[in-house]
Amino acid sequence: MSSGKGKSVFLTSFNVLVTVFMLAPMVLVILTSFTPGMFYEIPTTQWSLQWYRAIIDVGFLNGFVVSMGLALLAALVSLILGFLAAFVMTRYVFKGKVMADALFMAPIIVPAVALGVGLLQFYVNVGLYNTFFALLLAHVVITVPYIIRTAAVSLSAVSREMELAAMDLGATSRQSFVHVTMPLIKSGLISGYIFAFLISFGEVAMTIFIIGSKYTTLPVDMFNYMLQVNTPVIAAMSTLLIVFSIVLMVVLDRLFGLRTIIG
Amino acid sequence: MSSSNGVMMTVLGTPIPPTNAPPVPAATAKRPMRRKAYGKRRVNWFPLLLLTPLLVIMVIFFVVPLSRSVVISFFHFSGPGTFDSSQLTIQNYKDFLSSPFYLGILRRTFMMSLIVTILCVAIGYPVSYYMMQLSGRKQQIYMFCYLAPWLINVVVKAFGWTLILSPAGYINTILLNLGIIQTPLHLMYNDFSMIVGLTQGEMVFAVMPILASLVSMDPELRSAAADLGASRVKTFMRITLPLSLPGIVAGSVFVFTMSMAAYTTPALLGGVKVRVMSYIAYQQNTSTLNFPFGSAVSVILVIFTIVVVQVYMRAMASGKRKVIFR
Repeated sequence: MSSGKGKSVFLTSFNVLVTVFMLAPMVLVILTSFTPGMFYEIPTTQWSLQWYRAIIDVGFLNGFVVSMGLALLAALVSLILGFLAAFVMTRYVFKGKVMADALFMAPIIVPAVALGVGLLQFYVNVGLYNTFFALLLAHVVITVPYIIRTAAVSLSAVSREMELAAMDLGATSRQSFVHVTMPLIKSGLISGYIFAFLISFGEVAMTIFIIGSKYTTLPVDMFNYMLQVNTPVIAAMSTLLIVFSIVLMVVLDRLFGLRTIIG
Repeated sequence: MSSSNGVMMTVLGTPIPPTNAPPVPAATAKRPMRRKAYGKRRVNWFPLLLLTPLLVIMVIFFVVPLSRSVVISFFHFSGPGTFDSSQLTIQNYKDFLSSPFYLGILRRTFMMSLIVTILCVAIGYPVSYYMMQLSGRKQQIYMFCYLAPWLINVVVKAFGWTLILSPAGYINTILLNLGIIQTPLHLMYNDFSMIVGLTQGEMVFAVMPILASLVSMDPELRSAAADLGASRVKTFMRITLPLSLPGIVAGSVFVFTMSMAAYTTPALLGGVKVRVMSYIAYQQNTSTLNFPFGSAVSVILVIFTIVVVQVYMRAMASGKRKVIFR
């Protein structure tokens, strides 16, 4: 046993390779986005921001606004409703609790395509198709499990004794909730919100079914653009999205610790 | 340690029960509420009141659309976006199951998902094993490398692979310039590119549950086995691997399920010739607006996935018993 922990050279080099495999697409997208020419290549002598300027001409700005509005709102509605649900789930015992929990978690397990098919048919038949409201509610459904999970974890981390102690000292249960529980779970809730935002912001598989002509989200716009034309403007837009996601992930990390929220 | 793993598992929604955050015991949770702020009668209604808004949304925008689409799959097609609900039929299922074209697509989807699952577990296991041995900050950064691709848009990831794999992409350019090949390799718009893209995109769902099962394992077990004279290979085969089996099962079920339903990556990397089930569901529902057949495709996809996962989990459960009580 050369190294006690078993970190062999083979295992290490394998991991280096896999990490390259995991990150290569993103790194190459970022490098390519600065190309001065019409082709996808990594600029060596000349760097250019022309494709960043082209983002606006292509019309991605519209999709970006829709996606932002949709993700911000959907995550907010999810946060409020999901928090209430998580509160009930962690603090009460009632009939049908297991079923309610299964229902709230189901959107993670049910394939996006199946939900997309169901929602499309439903929206077309009830006349909700091509409305922002339709998109919003669909995104609430797919983000709510993530909110409930993070909120439930935060809520169960607050020991019940602390709330009881506050109440024994004369606080009403509402006061104890506002002054004891809320401050303790605040970062958990913000993390859940960012998490839900990222899920909604990047969703394509279900959204593409229910998207009308009126409101298209940025990823769907990019998807369609890639199927038709192909210029490095996609690389520029992708780079902005990569930077955006990584910034949000770092915020998550600072706030709650990625380790605690996801790992 | 174990509680932070619980968080991870719960966020990813892996169906392993013990990882759920344990709820506060019933008795202690209920009593103070009743005693302090609320009257006896309100106690029963209060939780329900808080749950109602979400329950209503989930029923209208989740349960109803899904059940509707199952019902619609048993109706006749009567024109774009409409169906004849006067009588039930299994014609849509017959059409699918008797067509070599559609069966071929189901087969392709299954094979693709199977390969992606095997790759994700085979690559993800050593990755998790390595990650487990890292400490603190290092582990965090390494985990970030695997989580980042998940939270970065699928379209962006697929685009990245286009840059690498296309005929004028980075791999072909390098190989051509080095003189290793004379004509560009066909790496793009086929099963290969689809599998590569999905494997990278879903790796995290194999790594996280496996890592959780490895971390929750008592390290003393391994050293005990070593003290008793077991070789490293034997320790791994008899102790580490069997005990991390739940993580492998959870991870592979997750990756398989997601691959079966994947739409974006296959559409962007598979090209026009390589189609999967989700594409057919999309095409039937949005181009021809044949809702009954489109529903049937989606139902077949879901049921097929459930059956495969169930068979697999049964097999793994009995296999595990054999390994441990050998």
